[in-house]
Amino acid sequence: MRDKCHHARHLLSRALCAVVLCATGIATATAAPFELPPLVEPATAEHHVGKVIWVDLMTPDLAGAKQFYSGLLGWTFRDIHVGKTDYAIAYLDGQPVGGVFQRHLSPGKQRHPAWLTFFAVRDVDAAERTALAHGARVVFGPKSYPDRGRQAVFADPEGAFFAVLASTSGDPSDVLALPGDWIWSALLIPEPDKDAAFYQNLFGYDVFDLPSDDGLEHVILSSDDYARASVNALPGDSTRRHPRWLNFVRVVDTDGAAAKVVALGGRVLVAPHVDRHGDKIAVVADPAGAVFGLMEWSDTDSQKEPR
Amino acid sequence: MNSLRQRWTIRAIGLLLFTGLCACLTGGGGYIGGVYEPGGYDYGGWGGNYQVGPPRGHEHRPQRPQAHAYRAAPQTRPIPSIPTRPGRPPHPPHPPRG
Repeated sequence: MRDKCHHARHLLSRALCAVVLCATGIATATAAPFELPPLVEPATAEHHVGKVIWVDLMTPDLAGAKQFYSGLLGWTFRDIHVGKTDYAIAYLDGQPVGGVFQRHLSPGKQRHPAWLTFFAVRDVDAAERTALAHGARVVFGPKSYPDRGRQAVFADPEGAFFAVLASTSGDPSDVLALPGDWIWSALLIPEPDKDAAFYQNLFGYDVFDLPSDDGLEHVILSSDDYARASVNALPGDSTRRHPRWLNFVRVVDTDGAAAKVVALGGRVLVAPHVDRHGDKIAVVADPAGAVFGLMEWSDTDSQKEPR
Repeated sequence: MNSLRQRWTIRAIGLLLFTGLCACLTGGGGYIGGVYEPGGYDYGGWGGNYQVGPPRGHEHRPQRPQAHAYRAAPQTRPIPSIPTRPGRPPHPPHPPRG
């Protein structure tokens, strides 16, 4: 009888150990969550659904990316290390302009680093339902970060990756981007018509068809009476094309910036040339291969503000 | 012998619970890093008149309205431009907090 009692106590203590072990695991896992800083500081009550409000770079070389973008655009960085995740927030003039993740990229894989474009929404879960109903695919399901907000990543019906973010600190104001900040986003896609309809359903855009000199279809996506992005038929007849969002950073001198890209180890993919707005743009890649655009915007003859 | 088996069973269940819960809490399937895109993209097709930038505003719309999958804005509305209201003035960079 005494033996049985002792045995029962022993089993109970083992069971308690298992429970304690579980509790410790939970505590460890929750004690160091991956935190993202607020999008806007100080917080505002502004919300601009459909506006590009953030970009994240995924790269195998965080140190190299920091060196390149600080040299080219004057960005500074704040490092965040949590567990196995190495992340850095990029700042321009003290304001956050993007994030850079380091993630291993297997040499044999036909993948390359890319900037991921985040659009403002009010409700990520509602956006997910709408996106799925109109042919999108979930890449990363909705996830909340207390200071940042709730976000999710999708592939649109043509396969272009994009993300949505419901920012808890509001959205950045509608002002002209400073040199070194993101100013424009363009979707390159086989069928602009279909994808413009998808993004219109998702973000409630006003859609404007554009006059075209190249025989290809180009449309403007607009909200709050501002142009937010363009959707453009893919040019050329290359088969090595896939749908993608391309983000442009404002520069003072596209030629000079493109030369600097090369000097810093990057490549020029589309040489500087004059675009629709009368100033020059170029498409470049950083040393790891992430593609982005350079765009001049002289603000001498800007449109009259709508409001 | 029997008790030894019971002890190991409890340990195994505990370990399974522990790893399962940890996986749920730390993984979760949510976004924690961007995406690597398919490689091999070719930008060679960009001709000189291929234009992807924003309009300056008040450009003329195409005169022949066509049927689209999207609902086009009324022809009477001018094409809007990007926000051009100046933000805060730039000042010398300073290190971010942290």
